[in-house]
Amino acid sequence: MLNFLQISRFRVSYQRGEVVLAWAMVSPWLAGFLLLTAFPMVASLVISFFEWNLLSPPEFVGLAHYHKLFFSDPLPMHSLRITVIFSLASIPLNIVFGLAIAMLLNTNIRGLAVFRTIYYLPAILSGVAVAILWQWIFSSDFGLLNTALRIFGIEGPAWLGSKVWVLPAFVIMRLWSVGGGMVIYLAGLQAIPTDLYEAAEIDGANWWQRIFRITLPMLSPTIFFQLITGVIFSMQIFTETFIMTDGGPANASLFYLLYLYRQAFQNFKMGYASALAWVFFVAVLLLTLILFATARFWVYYEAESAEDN
Amino acid sequence: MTRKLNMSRRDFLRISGIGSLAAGTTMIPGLGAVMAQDDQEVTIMFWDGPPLIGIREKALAPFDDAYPGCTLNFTSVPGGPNSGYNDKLFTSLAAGIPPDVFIIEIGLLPQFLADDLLLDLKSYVDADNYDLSNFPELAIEAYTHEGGIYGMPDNVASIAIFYNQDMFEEAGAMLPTAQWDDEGWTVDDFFSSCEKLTKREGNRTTQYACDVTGWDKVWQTWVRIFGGQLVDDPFYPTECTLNEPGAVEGLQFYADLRWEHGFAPRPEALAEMGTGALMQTGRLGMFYSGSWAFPNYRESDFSIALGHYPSGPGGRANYVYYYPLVVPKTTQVPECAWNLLKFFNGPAMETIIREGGLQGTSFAEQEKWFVTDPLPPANKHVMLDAARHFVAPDPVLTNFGEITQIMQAQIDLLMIGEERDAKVVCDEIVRQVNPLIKEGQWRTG
Repeated sequence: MLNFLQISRFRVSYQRGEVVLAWAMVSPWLAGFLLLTAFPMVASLVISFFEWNLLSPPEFVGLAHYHKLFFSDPLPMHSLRITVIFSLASIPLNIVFGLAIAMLLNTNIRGLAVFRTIYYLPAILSGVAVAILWQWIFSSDFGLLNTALRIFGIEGPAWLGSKVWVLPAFVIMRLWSVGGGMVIYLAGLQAIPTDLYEAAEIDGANWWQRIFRITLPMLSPTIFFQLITGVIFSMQIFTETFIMTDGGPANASLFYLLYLYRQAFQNFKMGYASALAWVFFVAVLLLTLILFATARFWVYYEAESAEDN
Repeated sequence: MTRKLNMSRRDFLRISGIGSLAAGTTMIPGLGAVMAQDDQEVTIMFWDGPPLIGIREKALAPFDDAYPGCTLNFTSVPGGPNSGYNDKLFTSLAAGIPPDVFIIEIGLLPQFLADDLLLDLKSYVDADNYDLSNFPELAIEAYTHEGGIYGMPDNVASIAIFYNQDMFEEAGAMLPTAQWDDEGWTVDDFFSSCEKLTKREGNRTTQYACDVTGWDKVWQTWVRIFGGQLVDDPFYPTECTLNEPGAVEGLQFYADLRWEHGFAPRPEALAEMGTGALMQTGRLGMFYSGSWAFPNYRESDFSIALGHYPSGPGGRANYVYYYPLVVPKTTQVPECAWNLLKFFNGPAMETIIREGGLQGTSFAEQEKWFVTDPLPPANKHVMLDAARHFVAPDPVLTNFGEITQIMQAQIDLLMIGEERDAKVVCDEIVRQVNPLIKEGQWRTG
């Protein structure tokens, strides 16, 4: 029979074994995070205080890159401005369209699985392939979009060759991946208890009331999640502009990350590019924190509400 | 019967250590080559994409037999300098393990020279009495620094006017000249041909004369045709001169072909990929391109030929690409690298020109294989003559790439009609570029 001491030792050794096993399990991720994320991040912060072109030894320049970024080079703020404009237009549209499609597909119609697959399909295609596809769609003479507009007697613009239309073109293009959000909204919609709708119906609530009083509040955590990821995703726009316009015409689609890429991998100004990356990181972080701060005014968590009661 | 292997922990660690050391040493680049004294591996890196993929590798395959003791290792990062090639090259340089021979954009050469990264090939050129006069003189001058020679051409690629001969003849327009020193085919003749070629039906243009593109090599050529220059001295630049009268006049003339006279399709009428399509469908009289466009016109149902740019107040001009192949100073196999450069510019060139469709490097090889190619377009000697007579050196600055980006953003305004006055654009370019020129200077005249 085991005595108390033996049981305690067994427990300690079992717990220690579990701890070791847990560390062993997370170690691949941890090693990856430390080597491939944390170390490069810290290194880039250090590099941002140096002039370094990869070819010659780094030279310490202090805060010169940050000074240039804010006070003498107009392009970082220009590129940040158009990135923000793009995000302001793109994120709400993606949320609205994603939600609308999810609500349409949250009904009992025949072939629902097929429709869901069709809407989700574009979200899994590679960025480069999609960019090339859209280059053709936006093509002025032979593009699908302008050909469709011509049917209605509208002469479409040179989408990617015009300072005015290039940003709307990218906003339209981003709607292509709306299926990714649609799947998440769909999961959120299906998690809403049906008895809420039944109770509302008994109380005489119409369709709009059910949407605004039940669906949207219950879905607000999902919308909040989509908003946060949408901000990060849209601020990071790069592949499309790199492939389709290279920032043109006249820097009208020079998004922030494209400018950063140019500095790092075309002009080989690694220090300046690192400073740009850190400013961007802080800007996106602040934006995310602000959104989190607003969440308590409009995001409804059922669990929290139950605790309050 | 199996025999049990008794190994202590110390033995295991010892054997593992020796094994790791052996594996590690074989992975140190160059060491393998040094260890095998008789067989030096020489690595060459290109950025070949279609249709060149495989062609240069095939052309260089006989190198091992031609130079016993040297073994070629061919690598390529497809897609051009900005599609991963430069990233790989710079990373390998930072790590101290660059290829033994590699191609770079001409705009990067000053940075490489300023950082003292390249092997001076002068002693090899002299020892072999290698004839450099067979290459464009200005290209060799661009590769030269303080008496040393730091590159050999990868390819010489001229730009020419591609024109639909049938359309010109039908319109009674003067053909672009194929003779480099022709006193005719002036800017006025060009304009007059454009007038004849352009056809309109009401407000709609059904046939365009020429293309106006934002391609920097083309607008820079129009600047030179009118006597302008990008900078005061390309080899020792101190200031941007793009706002001087000749340059402004050239740019204004070029932009007006589209916006004032309607000879060239506007952006809203021209698809991003539309120039080729307009040409193929007989709705465009002429456009600018290099030998890489030849395959598109092999089976056209109209006669296509090459001609020179017109001559203007600054004479006739062109832009010729002359990217260098260079050898890093740290190479362990300089003899093999030099032999490879010679082989590339010699025996390999026939395959590169005939199967890869490139213009080639030396004049002799271009004459032998490029000019004599019987397939369309006609007048291929136009490109050879451009390489002989119209090479325009890029400004020797360590940051010319960055300067080009700034210029291009402003030129875009002119090309898309956002700004119609070339002087405004040029003044802005000068304002933005001059401080960068100071930053990019690295040698004094």
